[in-house]
Parts: sequence; C-alpha cells; structure tokens
Amino acid sequence: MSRIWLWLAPLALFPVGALGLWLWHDQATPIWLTGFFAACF
Amino acid sequence: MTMKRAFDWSGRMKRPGIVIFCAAFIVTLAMGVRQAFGLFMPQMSVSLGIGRESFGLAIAISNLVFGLVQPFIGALGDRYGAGRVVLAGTVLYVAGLAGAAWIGSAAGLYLTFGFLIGVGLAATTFVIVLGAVGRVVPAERRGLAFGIVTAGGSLGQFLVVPGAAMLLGELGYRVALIVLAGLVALCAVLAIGVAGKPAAAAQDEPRQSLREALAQAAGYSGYWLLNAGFFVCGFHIAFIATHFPAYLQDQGLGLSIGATALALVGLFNIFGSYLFGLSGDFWRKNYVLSGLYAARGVVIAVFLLMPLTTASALIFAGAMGFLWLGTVPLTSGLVGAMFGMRHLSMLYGIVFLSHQIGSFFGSWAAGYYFDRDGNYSWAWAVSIGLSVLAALVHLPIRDAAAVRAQTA
Repeated sequence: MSRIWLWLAPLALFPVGALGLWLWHDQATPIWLTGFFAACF
Repeated sequence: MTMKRAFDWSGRMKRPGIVIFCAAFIVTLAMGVRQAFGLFMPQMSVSLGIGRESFGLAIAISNLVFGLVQPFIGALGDRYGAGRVVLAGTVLYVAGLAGAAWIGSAAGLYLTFGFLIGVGLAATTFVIVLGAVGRVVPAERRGLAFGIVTAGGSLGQFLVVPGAAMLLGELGYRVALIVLAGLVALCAVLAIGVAGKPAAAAQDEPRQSLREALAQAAGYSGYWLLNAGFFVCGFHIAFIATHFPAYLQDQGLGLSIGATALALVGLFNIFGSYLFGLSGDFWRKNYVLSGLYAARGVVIAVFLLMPLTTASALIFAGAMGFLWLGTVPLTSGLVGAMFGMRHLSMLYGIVFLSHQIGSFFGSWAAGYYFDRDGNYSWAWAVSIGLSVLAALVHLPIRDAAAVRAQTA
C-alpha cells in the first residue's frame, strides 16, 4: 500500500483512547446500571 | 479569509479540510450527547415522578422522529446547504436539552427529549454533514473523508458518555443538561464550516429535481439492496447494544466485565469507522460492506461456539466494536457513487430510516423472544442469518453511477 500512513493514522488517537478508557473505567459500571444501552440506540 | 466570507451561509463552500473538521466536530458533539441520554433516566424519573416506561417512551419518540424526518431534513440540506440546517437543528437540540432541565411532567419530556431533540439530531448528524463533505471532496477521497467524520461520531460516543456520567453524579441532572446544551450550542459556530451553496458544489453533475432523483432511486435495484443491508446493520447494533450486557449477566459474568465490554465497543468503533471508510477508496465499497457483514456473522458464530469466558466476551466486544459503524461511510459513499452529491442527504436519509426500522426490530424482537423462550437463541440465530443475507445482497450492487436518464 503506497500510502501506509493513511492506514496507520488512527494510531495517533491512542492517547485519546487511553483517556477514554480511564473515563470509562471510572464510570462504566454506573453507566451500564442506568440502562444506558437500552435507552440510546 | 475576510469576516464576510467566513460567515457566508449561501456562497461557495469552504476548503475540504475545514468542512471535514467541522463536520467531524459537529457529529462528535451531537452523537456524543445523544448517547448520554439513558444516564438521566434514574434521576429524572424520580424527580419528575414518572416511570421508566415514560422516560423510555420519550427516547423511543426521539429515535422514531430522528428516522422519520431524516429524509425531509436531508432534502432541506441538499437544497439550502448543511450550514443552515445544522444551525436550525442546533437551536432545536439546545432547546430540547434546556427545556428538559425545566419541564415537570412526562408530556414535557416527550416534547423536549422526544420531538425537539429527535428533529435536532436529524439536522446535526451524519446524513446532513456527510452531504456537505461529499460535495467538497473528490470522489476518490470520499471514503477517507467520510471515515474521518464517522470516526468523529464514534469518538463522541466514547468520550462524552463517561464525561456526562461524571457531570450527572457531581451536579445533578438539571445542571448536567444545561452543560450538555452548552456543548451542543458549539455546533452553531461549527455550522459555518459546513455552510455553502450545494448547487454550486454539484455543478458538474446533471441537474435533477428531487422528484426525478426519488424516481430514479426507486427504480434502481442497488438502492433497494442497500436499504436492506442497512436494515441489518440497525438490527445488529440495536440487538447487541440493548441485550448484550443482560446476556453476559445471564451467563454469570460480573458487572465489571459487561462495563468493560461497552468501553471496548466504543474504543474499537473509532478505528473501525475510519479504516472501513478508507477501505472504500481502495476497494469496491459494496464488496467491503459484504465482507463487513460476513465478518459480523463469523464473529457472532465463533463467540457462541466458544466457551463463554471474560476473555471471549471482551474479544467479541472489541471485534463487534471494530465492525460497528464502518457501514456508515461505505453505505453513504455508495449512495453518492450511485446518484451523485446533489440529493445525497435526502437519498441517504431514506436509507438511514431503514436502519432505524432495523434498530427497532433488533431491540424489540430480541426482547420479545427472550420473554417467550427464556433465552436469546432466536436473536443470535437471526443475527447470523441476517449477516449472511446482508453479505449476499451487497455483492450485486454496482459501485458506480446509476444511469441518469432524466436530466435537464
């Protein structure tokens, strides 16, 4: 693939992913318990 | 750029980079805030003295309105430009959120969370902004551009939900709603970036009235097959999103496993949205979609055949997350490839309605058969069957312009 950087670009989002996982680690169980999924999709 | 040009709502569209950035940011905010609504259920139910059924009905109204008005809002976007539509939608969205902070009855909730936000969502999410992006990006780069915008929506779902949960815990639901309204209000500024005259951007395409575009799409088999495929997408996502945590709990896995699974769906969705969009620039979109739906079927089948463990549940969540919204850039891109950019938002809006109908059945029918049978066997089996069906129906779709017989 000539433009390999296009495929690797999402790697730049790993810091954001880490932030998100940290937020979810703190809040995920209450989110689930409030029925988040059932109500929103 | 002069101030006059920067705030020009009717003239030519902005540079592609600006349009893509603003479009991605708009859906990040609009989709992210939307996903947080369920968090408000316990506090608002108690405060307003209404049952969870009433709250659920308000959200259901919102989803229904979102789907039903989407083709019409899309047509407005095609005619007047995404900027004006996003601006109007932002006003309704903010009014819905702020109004929900003040109402004191279920009827108020239906009006704010249900109607106002339903219309606001239709005017500020994928269907509208992808139309704007499609008009400024060359066809060979549309997959990449649509993938970036879709990944923005996925990022919003991933980040705004836990942030809103923190706000809710610290400040209570009224203040949290106002803060979210403030976030959504930023879309009014970002709307400038997606503003511009659609007709000017589609000058290289044959002139075609809305009625002609509808008639052409209705007579084109590929369009119907695309609708069928997106119905399956809605079914899968709603079934898994609504029932998967309960399934894990039924099977004896702890709360923290289900919660982590949710986070992994959100995280891998960001990467999948981008990469599948990008794939559409290198391979035929209908084949990529076919492969995506087949992969969903394989992932579900392998998950069910393997012994259920913490690892298998998390791997399944990550894999399904990766396959979650990759359908959006590919499906919208196919609509654009078939019929051009002039009526993209309206025609994609109809396909999106099909997705919402699939969502309805995925959420409701799985629950119905669970109550009847005491397990999710029916829903899992139908999900695999629909995966096969969707993989097959995309194969004959042509990733090329439909013959525009009715041109002026």
